[in-house]
Amino acid sequence: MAFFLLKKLASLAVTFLLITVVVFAVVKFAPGTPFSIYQASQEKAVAKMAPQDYEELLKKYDLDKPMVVQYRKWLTSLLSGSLGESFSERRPVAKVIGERLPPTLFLNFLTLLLMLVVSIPIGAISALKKDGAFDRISGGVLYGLYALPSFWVAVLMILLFGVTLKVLPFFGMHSDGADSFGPVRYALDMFYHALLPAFCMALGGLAFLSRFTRSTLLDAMHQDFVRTAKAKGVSGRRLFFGHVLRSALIPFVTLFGLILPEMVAGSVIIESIFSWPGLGQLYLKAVYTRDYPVIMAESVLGAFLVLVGSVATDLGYYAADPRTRRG
Amino acid sequence: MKGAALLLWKRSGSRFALVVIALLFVVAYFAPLIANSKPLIASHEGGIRFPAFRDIYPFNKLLKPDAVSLKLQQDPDWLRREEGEGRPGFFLMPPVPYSPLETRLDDISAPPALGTRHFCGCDDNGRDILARLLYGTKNSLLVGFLAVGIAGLLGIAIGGLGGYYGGLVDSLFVSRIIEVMLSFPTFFLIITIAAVIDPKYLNIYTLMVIIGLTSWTSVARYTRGEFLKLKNIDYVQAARVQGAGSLHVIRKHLLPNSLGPILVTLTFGIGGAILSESGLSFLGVGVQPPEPSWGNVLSIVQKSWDSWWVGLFPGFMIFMSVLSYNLLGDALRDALDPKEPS
Repeated sequence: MAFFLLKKLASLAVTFLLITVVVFAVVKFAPGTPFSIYQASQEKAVAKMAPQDYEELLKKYDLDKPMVVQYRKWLTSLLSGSLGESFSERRPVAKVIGERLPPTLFLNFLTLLLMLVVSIPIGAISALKKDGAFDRISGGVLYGLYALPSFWVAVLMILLFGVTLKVLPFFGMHSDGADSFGPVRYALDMFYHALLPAFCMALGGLAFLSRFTRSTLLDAMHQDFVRTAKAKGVSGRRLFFGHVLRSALIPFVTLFGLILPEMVAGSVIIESIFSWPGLGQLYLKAVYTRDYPVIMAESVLGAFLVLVGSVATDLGYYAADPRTRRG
Repeated sequence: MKGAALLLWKRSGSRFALVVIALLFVVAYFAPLIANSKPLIASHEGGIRFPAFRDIYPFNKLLKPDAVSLKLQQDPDWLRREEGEGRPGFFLMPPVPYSPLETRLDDISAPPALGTRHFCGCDDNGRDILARLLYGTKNSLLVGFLAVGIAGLLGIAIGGLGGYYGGLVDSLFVSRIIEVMLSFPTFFLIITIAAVIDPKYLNIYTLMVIIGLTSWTSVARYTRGEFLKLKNIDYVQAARVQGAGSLHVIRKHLLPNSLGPILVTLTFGIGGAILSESGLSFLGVGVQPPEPSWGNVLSIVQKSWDSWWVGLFPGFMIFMSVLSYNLLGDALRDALDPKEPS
C-alpha cells in the first residue's frame, strides 16, 4: 500500500510540474501584454499610456524579465501558496477565487445530486427489464442527450421557462433585494435560481451515468456470486439491493475522475449564460481581460482537482475492490 | 470492408446518420444556390446570366462577377424593386432570397414567416438566419474533419510511439504527456488558447488547429493500447523474426490492425470538434461575426431573448450533426467488431 501510494504521488508530482509548464507557456506565449491595450489604443475612450508608465507597469509585474525567470518566480510563489494579485481587480487572486468558489461548489453539488437521483433509478430499471419498453425508450432518449449541446439546452430552457412561462429566473444567483430576506427565504431563493443551470449541467452527465449504471448492473447480475446467492435461495429485492447493487457501485468510484473535468468545463459555458457568479464566469472574464494571474491560478487549480480526483479514484478502487491489491 | 459498409447501410440509425451527413456536405457546397440575394437565372440586357452559380467554388475564384451581380452590389434592392413593379425581365431567385451577410433594416428581428421568405426568421441585424446556417455548415464541416485529421495524425504518432517502444519512452514521455493533457478539461484549454490569440487571427483555420492540438489524447490512448496488445501477437513476432524493421511492422501489421478502433474514435471526434467549435463561437472566442457559424448565430439569442427563433434553429443544426456522427461512430464500432456480427 505504501509503495503504491508513493509511486502514485511521485508520478503525480511530475505531472503537476508539467501542467504548470503548459499553463505558463500557453498564457505567456500569446502576443501582447495585459497593458498593450492601453499602450496601443487609438480610441479616445482608453487614455493612451505614456511609455515610461508602461515600462513601469511591466517592471512592477515582472513582465520585463526573461520567461525562465518569470516561470521560476511564479512557481516558487505558487508552491509557497501565494497565487499573486489579479491584474484587473487589484486584489489577491486567492481572495477573488475564494469568493467565486462557493457558488460554483453549490451549483456543482446540486448538479451531481440531480444526476445521481435521476440516473441511478433509470439505469436500475433498464437493467432489470433489459430490452423492455422502458429500456429501449430511455436508451434512445439518453442517446440523444449525448449529442445535445448544453448551451442549446440552456437557451431552450430559458426561452421556455424564463421568457415564455416566466416561472423560473435565469439571471444571477439572487433576486433583487435578496439581502433583506430571512435566511430560509434567502436559501430558497438561491436554490430557485440554481434550478435551470443545474438542470442544464446535469443533462450530459445524466445520459452517461444512466447507461453506466445499466451496464455495471448487467455485469454484476452475471457474476458468479450472484448466481450462488440465487442458488442459495436469496431472491427478489434482497438479491438486487444486497448483492447486485452493492457490487455494481464499485465502478462508480471511477466516475468522479471522469465527471469532474467535464463539470469544470461545462460550468464555464453554463455560468456565463446564466450569469452565475462562479469560477467559470470568472475564468471567462479573466481570459477576456488577459488577467494572467487569475487564468494561471484557475487552470492550475482545475488541473490539480482533476489529479486529486484521479488519486481518490485509485485509492477508492484499492479500498473497495480486493482484487486490485494483488500484484 | 465491403461487408462493413453494407452493415452500416443496413442499420436504420446509421442510415439516418449517413443521409444527414451527406446532406450537410451538399448544403455546405451548394449553399450559394439555396440562399442568395442574387438570382439563379436572370435575363439581363438581352442575355441569360447565372449570377448565383458564380458564388460556388471554383467559379467564385475563376470568374469575375457578371453585370447582374455588379448592379446588385451597387443597389441591393434593385431586383426587389423590379419585382414589385411587375418584372420587366425574367428572374429566378433561390429558395431563400437572402445572403448570409446581408443586413436589412426592415427585417431586424423579423420572426419566421413564409411570406417574407425568412423561413427561420432574422437576427438583430436583420440577417436571415437560415442563410447564415446554410453557409455556416461549411465552417462546421471544415472544423470537424480537419481538426480530427490533425488530432488523428498527432494521436497516432504519439500513441504509436508509446505503444510500439513501450518501456521508458512510454512511461517517461508518452504516458506523461497524455496524463497532463487529460488533466486539463479540454474545453478550458481551448478557451484559453482561443482567447489569448489576437481576434484578427481567430478564423476557422486557427480554430481547427487549436481543437486538433488539444483533442488528440483519446486517439493516442487507443493507438497506444492497440499497439501494446498487437506487438506481442504471434504474427507480428514472426514478421520481426524474419527481419522486418520497425517501420515495416508498424505500417504493415500494427497500423492496419488497429485502424478499426482508431476510426471509431475519430468519428466520435468529429462530433466533439463540432461541439467545441460551436461552444467557442457561442462564447465569442470562436468564429468572429459577421462570418457565420452555428455557434455565433445561436449566441445572438442572448442579446434579445424575445426572438425565440434565433435560439431554436442553430442549436438544432448542431444537435443533428453531432447526433449523426455519434450514430455513425457506434455503427462503425459494431460493423468493425468481428466478434459481434449484428
